[in-house]
Amino acid sequence: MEHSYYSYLTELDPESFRNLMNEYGQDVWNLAFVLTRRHELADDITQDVFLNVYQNITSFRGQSSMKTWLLSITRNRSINVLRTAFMRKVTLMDIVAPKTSVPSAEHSALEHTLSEEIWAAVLKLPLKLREVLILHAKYELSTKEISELLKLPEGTVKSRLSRARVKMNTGWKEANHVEGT
Amino acid sequence: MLKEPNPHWYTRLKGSPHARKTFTPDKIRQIELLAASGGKKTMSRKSLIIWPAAALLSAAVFFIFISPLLEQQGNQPPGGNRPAVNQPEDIETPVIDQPAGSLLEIEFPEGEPEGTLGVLLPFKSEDVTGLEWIHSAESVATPIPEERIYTVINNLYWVDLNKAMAKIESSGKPQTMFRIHTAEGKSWDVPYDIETNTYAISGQRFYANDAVLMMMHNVLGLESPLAAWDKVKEKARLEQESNEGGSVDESFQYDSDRLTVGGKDYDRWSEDLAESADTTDWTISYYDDLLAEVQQIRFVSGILTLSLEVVFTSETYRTPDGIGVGTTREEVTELLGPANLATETRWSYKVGDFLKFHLYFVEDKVAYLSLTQPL
Repeated sequence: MEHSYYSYLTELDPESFRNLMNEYGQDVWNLAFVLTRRHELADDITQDVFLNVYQNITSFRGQSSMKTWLLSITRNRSINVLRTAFMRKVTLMDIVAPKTSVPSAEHSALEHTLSEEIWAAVLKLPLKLREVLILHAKYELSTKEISELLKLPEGTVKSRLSRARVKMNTGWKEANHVEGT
Repeated sequence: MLKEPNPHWYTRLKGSPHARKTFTPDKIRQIELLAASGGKKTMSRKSLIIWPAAALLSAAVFFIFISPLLEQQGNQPPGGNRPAVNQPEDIETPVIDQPAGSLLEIEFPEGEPEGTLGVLLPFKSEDVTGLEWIHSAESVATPIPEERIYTVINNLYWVDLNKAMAKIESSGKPQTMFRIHTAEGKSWDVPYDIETNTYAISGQRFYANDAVLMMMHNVLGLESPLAAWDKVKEKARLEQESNEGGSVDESFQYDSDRLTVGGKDYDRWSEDLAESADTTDWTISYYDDLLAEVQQIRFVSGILTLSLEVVFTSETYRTPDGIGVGTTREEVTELLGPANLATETRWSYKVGDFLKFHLYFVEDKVAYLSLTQPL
């Protein structure tokens, strides 16, 4: 569906809303998951993003693609969730149950459900590098689009992207012995 | 770098992180129902369990930890030892503020060590809110600038448990350490010996990288070539991060022969300096996480050898056009021409596809020449 279609809407009818979720829902969920690294938070954020879109479709003016607009909302919501006091209180649970070198069953399951090992390497990157890399590599945003989305200078985006690539080259490639492929 | 083709592994990131679909028709229906009912949001089942639990836990934490701390506050200097950390408005002040950290203990897996330290750390990099360098004997805590916290935390994440292991004793100097403060109010102490550039973790020593060592020389105000170099390089980095210099001008490049120093390029210097290792003024080891091996920072006759970089600090070394330490900006422009990327502090020049030659200015004169090697 052409994204300009949405820019003329004052409200979303049920069919358009479902089409929107069918078309972009998995992309939104994936970005929320890559940023938060938690399934339950990705579920909450995706729900939150689409409810916001449903209620505020008039704020979409077609200045970017619908996909970029949704990714922007998702990214901001994810960062807020990571920063909120709620998150801090949740992580208090980790203090009560100290981490050990033995991965939890949930963690193991998570590892096993990743479609490719490369995602495990991506999830290990620091958040600032992870978000830039994923927007560039997976969502194919240009560094200019990423700079607008993240409200960062393009030079900063390029620098972070470069660092993310180096980390992936040295971390993931070495771990998988695929040098030169 | 970004003018290079995308890495081959980019194609592997086009798909989803999970093989199965995670945004399911059930979830779509749930959102549709919520939207139809006015959009009152729900929380996941796990969240619903955690909220009350977290509230109970917070109450317990308050009575056990916070009340005694509040009573003690009258005896403490304002702000205590913690560095000021800029926090967004929606972030609460951490509820636990421990004056001392817990020594970082890692239970290393049995057998041949492998992997990186990051997976074993009890905190996430994004949860780190502050970092101090502690000199326990002098009871001195030096805050690490917020924009440099990444240098240490990122390095800790990428310490290779096998390749970065240092089979040496500590310098025997009074214990110094990094104290890492995290969002949940916990603090972790990681002993770090600046003399050997090593972390001490659970009975093992691991080399830090060169960036950590340079930063610490600078932060502690040491009178060393490393401290002076880090000061200028960090200034240039911050200028670049703020995009002061804009983008690389790709419309021109320089002949590689004009951007040599003393008639040699990076490779020649690297080889020659390795051969003259015995004559170095001083040397210190570090773990190069780009090359994945232990290397040495060397300082010999005014030349600093770092990770994929050779830095010239003496007037002795010049380009074929005569540019060296002490040359003014105007003279550089006249003798060489415009830089492909310029900030106030650093002018970089393109050879082939990469910026390989750099001039660093202090008070409008060249203070350092640098040759770099892209990975």
